Amino acid sequence: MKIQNVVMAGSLESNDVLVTLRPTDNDKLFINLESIVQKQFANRIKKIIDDMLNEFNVESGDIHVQDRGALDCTLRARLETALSRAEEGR
Amino acid sequence: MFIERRILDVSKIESFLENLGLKLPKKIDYTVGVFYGKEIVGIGSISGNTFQGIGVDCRFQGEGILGKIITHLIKKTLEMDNDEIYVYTKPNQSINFESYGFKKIGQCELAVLLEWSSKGIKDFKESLRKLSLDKPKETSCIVMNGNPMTIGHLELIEKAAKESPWLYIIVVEEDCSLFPYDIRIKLIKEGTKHIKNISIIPGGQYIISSLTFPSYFTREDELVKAHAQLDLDIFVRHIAPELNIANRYVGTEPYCEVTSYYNECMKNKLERFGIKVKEIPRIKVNGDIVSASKVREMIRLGKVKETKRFLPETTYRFVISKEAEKIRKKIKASDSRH
Amino acid sequence: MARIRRTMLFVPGNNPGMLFNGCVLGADSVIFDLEDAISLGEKDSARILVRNALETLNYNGTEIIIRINAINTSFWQKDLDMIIPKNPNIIMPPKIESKEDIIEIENYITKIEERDNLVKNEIKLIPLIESALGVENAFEIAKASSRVVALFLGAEDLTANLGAKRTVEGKEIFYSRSRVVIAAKAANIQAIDTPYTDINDEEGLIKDSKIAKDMGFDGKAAISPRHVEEINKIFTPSYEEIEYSRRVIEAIEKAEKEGKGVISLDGQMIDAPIVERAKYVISIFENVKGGRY
Repeated sequence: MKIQNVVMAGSLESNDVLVTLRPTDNDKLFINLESIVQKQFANRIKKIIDDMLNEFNVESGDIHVQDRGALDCTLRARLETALSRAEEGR
Repeated sequence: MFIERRILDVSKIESFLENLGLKLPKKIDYTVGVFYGKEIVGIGSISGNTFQGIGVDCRFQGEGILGKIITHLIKKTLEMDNDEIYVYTKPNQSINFESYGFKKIGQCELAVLLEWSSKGIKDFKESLRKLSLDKPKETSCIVMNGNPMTIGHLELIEKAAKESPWLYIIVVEEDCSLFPYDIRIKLIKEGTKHIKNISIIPGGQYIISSLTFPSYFTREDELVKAHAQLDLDIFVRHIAPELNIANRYVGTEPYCEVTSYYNECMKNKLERFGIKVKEIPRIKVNGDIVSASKVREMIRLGKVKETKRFLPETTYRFVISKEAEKIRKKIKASDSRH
Repeated sequence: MARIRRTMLFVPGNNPGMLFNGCVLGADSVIFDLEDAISLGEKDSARILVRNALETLNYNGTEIIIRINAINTSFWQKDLDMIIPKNPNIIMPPKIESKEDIIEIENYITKIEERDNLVKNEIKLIPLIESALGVENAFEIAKASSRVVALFLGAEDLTANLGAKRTVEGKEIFYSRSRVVIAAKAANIQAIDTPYTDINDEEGLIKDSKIAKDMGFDGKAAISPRHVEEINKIFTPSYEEIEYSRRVIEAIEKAEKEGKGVISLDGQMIDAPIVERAKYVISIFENVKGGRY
């Protein structure tokens, strides 16, 4: 799937993560991660993001993830919500 | 436990905002309230493509309520299939919005204008840049409403065009004037057909008319100052550089206090950025200063035929035409200054 | 023995911070809310988050209740589709007005259990009664399915439905409370009282909770963590109740040993309901106070 419209899920509150998906005008995939625990967990978070993008077959889009200390299951939930919304064309 | 719920009762919105010293926004499309039990502790509204009337009870500041409101409103906007949002906010609140992807596009002492858009001002500037590629490296501009275009406007345009290698006429796109935008720009184009070195371009979202500047947002006496400064900040930062503008032409303002104050600020701000402001005295016809507001007043009083001496032929032909009947009626019925 | 449900704390289903901390706030049950706490545009988001929470977290004995959306919405089935396979303890359907409502929901849950090969009938129901019609039909709702383990009275929507004004004294919901308690006890299930909505009025909370306890409610819902401790205190048996219950149990045991058929204590006949009550009180006491007062 290509991200074709702007979609948001989650929030910037503590323990949550804000996922914003935007279309790109070239057919590339950009992943931008900001995390308050960047140093320790960036790799783990990136892996979760990659797995989720694979699951949804995302070919292109601007994926912006702003983490505020979310648990893995929260991150997965927000990614799944955003990607499902993108799929539905919301 | 904070719960977000839509608020439909305008009186509730008004009283909450009143307690925070904020006015009720006009024309609300959607309002969310953050509730603590039955009590409203935070509120925010969408009006068209702007977020307005955002406030948090001071007892609950610092608890992420503002963030809840902003997120909720952004998601609501996306749900309504818009992808462009504007917010005016006090400078110390700007950071709250910037975390959510809002970008500052204009700043002054009292206010910041932020934009949330995937295209937005970036694309607008790109289009301006493209336009300027084959034009001379030093240009002039006039920013005008043209409500409707008078011979006064024409005189200013002709003078500026004569004195400049190229002239951009930037037309205020906001449709808060009695003559709608597409008519205004059409009349400008028709009235200036004989001038070769001009481009007539829409101002987009980035010319802030005093009508669109939110009056809920700041005190009456600060309003005009904030509006002028913000509008000019956007002009010098984003618009002028893309078009290589070296001079801005403007008519003197004998009647409208707001406009004359604006012109003063303009001289101040633009000179600091190396742009000359050329203030040209308004022309007179038989001792009467030509102004669009006078023309509208005459139409309102039913003296349509008498506007002829103030208007170029192209405008006059339209004003008396059948096509303009709806506009004439609207002017007769209105008591708006604009 | 019925599960102890002195307090049920509402937690918004779309709030990770609260979802994952809900269980340390001292309530006997937590209600993950997919209904009123969640705006329409976020129903999907809350559902997915709650599903993930159920999958991943260890709730240490706190009972997990999911308040799904009402059956007149397009959301309730999606809620159940996602939640049932993850094994919450209880489903709380709102705005229940008749036994048909319960049957419809139960059938849907059963279908999912069959489809996904889950253990049948483990997931129970606590219907939320919040309208005049619901109150009228309380008994049939209580008996509508063996999964129904309690009735929950929701006064906010109820008073709106009645055209009444919600007050601290609660006269306007007195009959409804009574009726729900009677219906629940006649059906041998528990009754849970409506939450107190003024977060800052502790005195009012205590008054309201005492009224509910005295009327026979087994527990009360809460919308603020701050209310949990007070409500727990009120619904925990008092020293007198516990002592009396202990003596009841002793009297029974003694009578059994001596082969006596009829037991009396303090001039009162001890029969089945009193025995049941005594055992229930002792079990609360042992579970929440560790057997010590």
